[in-house]
Amino acid sequence: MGAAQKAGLLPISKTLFHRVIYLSNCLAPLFDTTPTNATIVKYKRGPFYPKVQWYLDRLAVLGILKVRDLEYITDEYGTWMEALYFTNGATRQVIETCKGVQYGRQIEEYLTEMVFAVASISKRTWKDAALNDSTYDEPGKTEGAFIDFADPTNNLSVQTARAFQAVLPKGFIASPKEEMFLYLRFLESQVAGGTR
Amino acid sequence: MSLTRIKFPVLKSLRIEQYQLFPGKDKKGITHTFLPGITVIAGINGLGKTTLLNVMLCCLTGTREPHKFDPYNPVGGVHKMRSAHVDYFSQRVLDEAKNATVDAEFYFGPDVIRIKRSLRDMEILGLWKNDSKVDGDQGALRKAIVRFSGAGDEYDFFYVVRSFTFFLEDKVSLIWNAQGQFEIFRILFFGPKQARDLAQLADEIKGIDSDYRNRRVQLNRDRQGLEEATRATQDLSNIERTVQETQLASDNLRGKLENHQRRMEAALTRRTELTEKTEKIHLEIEEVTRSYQSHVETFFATAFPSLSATTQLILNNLTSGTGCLVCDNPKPEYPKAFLQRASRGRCPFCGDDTTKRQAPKMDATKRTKLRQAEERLKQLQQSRTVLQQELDRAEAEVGKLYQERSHLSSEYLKKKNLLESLTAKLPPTTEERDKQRSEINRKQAELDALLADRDAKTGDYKKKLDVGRRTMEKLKERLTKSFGYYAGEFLAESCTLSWEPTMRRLGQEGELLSFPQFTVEMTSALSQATGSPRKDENQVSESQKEFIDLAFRMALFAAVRDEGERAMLVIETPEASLDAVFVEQAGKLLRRFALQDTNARNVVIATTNLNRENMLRSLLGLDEAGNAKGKQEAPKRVINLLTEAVPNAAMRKYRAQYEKSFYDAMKAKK
Repeated sequence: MGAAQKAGLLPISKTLFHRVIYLSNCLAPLFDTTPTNATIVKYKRGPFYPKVQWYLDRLAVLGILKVRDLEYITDEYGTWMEALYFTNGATRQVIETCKGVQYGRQIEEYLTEMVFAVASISKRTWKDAALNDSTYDEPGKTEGAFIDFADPTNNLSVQTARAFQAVLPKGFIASPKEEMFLYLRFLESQVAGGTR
Repeated sequence: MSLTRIKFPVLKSLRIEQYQLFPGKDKKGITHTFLPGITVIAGINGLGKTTLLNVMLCCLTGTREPHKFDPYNPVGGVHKMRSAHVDYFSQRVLDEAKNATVDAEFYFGPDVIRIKRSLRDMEILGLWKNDSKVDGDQGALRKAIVRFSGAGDEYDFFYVVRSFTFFLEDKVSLIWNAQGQFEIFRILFFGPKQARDLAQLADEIKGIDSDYRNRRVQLNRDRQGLEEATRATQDLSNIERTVQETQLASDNLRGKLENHQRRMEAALTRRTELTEKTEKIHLEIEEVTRSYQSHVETFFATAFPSLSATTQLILNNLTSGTGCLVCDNPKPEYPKAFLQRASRGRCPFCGDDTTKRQAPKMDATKRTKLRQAEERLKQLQQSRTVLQQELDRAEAEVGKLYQERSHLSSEYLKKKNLLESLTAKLPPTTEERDKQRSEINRKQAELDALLADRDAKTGDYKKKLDVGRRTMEKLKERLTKSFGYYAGEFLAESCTLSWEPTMRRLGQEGELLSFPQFTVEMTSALSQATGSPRKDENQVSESQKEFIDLAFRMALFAAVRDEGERAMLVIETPEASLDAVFVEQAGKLLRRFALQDTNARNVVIATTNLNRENMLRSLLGLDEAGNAKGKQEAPKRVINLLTEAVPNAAMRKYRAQYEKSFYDAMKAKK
């Protein structure tokens, strides 16, 4: 949420929040970071982590985050809760405390890069970028499929991001950050191309 | 008749142009014609005296030198030349000497050889013999210079010039270094082809000797290995039994590991399946919960339309039994109580009767839906609990299996390493030993052949050596006499040469050969009547060491050439090792060599430092009675670097003092 605030993504919808978390898990190996969760069920509403939602709501109740526009909607997939989340002074204090330890600093640095990469693509493509992710959208993976990308050979997102090296000008070595930005650009073009 | 076919180079004229170190007093470079007798290169430290000597040397030899050339071990390498220090002159100047040249004329016997080289890389720009241009590529021109000198090859020419004609600070001592002395004898007295053959033969013998010793070390190692292997066969059964046991234990462990791997794969699959199921049931609970909450939320929103989103979150989660967002309790008590209170128009939290409010209506259909959702949630939560327990067990199983595998792998590796080390210790089979034995015999036969070849070549060398020795015998008397003549000028003690062939080998092993050699005997305070042998340079003083070596060269020149033949000695700062009182004698010695035979027109070129003005005067004989001609010619016999060389910092600062020193030194009468 701290990174989203810096990148101008706030208030962030519950749906977008989960999708950004999914992309951060998937692309973590680019930065030699271990994903907090390397498995996910391909869900009809896109990447969603029930436990994350529980803790997101808890943080709101504890006053560490703010929530507004809570509503229950019913559509073709059933009933669903939507809300907008944003930060306050307490959020910043908690983030500063987390940055006091090395692991916290590393995660914060990585997530900031990640969220800025998302923010760099067109706003209208933010939400659908994760749906076009190479791992999530792998051919043959239908709704309800269990996606396990702990093994690097199954993480098509990282493989795609690294494959851009082959088409870069001779002598130019892409950094992890550049690989991630290039990958998000790729997802943006996939969304814009209407592949989904 | 001359005893040598070598025509020693003698400098006739020198012209250096466009070299930034030597702009010359008229900015046209240095031009000098060398009169017979002494020529002095005068200067101070850092003005280029040594560089000028090297220009003269490299004009003859170029920048090529023998492989691994070491003046203190002159025959340590082989008699082969290679290109070295190509940028010696170019790196000393800012323009890399791109247009700088040296153009010099040398007498080679009766012929005048003119050599012009680029100082950038010492390439030969032109070669003339008695004004006739010699054509050819660089290799051909180099060979022509060698041919004009009468030397057998480039190496021998280099050695004559670098180690005999030039007497530089890093030189091969010809009297104190037995090998260095024989090297010059070989070149001077064996004729070009024989000298070359002898050098090649010595290189071959040394090569064979080295090869023989290296192979013998390897062969001895092989023999030792075979002996150990033969001994080891005696307790072979013990080792074999241990190997078999270890092999068995290792196989057993490998089997366990493979079995374990299967268990591990099954446990991991089980864990993945359970994770998948758990994640899916979480999603389903989420869906049913949200459906339940949406019904409840509509109900509360009617009763309390201004509730904050945070309060709604708490209330909805408590009523749906999802948990308490305040304290993280997954199973809060009485979740229905909240709903019942609210449906009766009471505050769901405190139960206060809020009769003024319109009690929310909940129709039967909605109640049924809520009940169904409630039932479904209950089932799902129970399934989740069971699944979570199974997942925890599966996790624990995977953890336990990882620990077991780590232990098994470590045990297996230990056994495998032990097995490898035991197998390596197993002696070879009889068949393998026979093969090794036959290989050793073959190598021994090769060694024997090498030895025979070395001995045959040494015999051949010995015969060739004997031919040269006969020439040396003729030389003995002339050389001893000449040495006495020159040494007597410098040394107060009586110093004579002694013919004392030495026994040494060409390689580290092989037959001892008798090499011709002259050594020195000299009287001293303790043995005034008869001299004692001085075989080592440490047995004389520093100045004696240098000047005995110099006297030996002069004697050698005098002994090998006929009257009228020219010779040249180029000496770097002769005063360097002298006490002040010997400066006069050193000057006389060099003058004696330069002037002793008026027909010979010998040339002596010596550098001197102006700080030691006596040397300059002594070399030019300015204080010598009856040397009117010499005094008159003195300015023509000096290359004055104070005016010819580019001034360095000391020169710029103390020019007046240095010029006065030079002027005072050159005065006709001191």
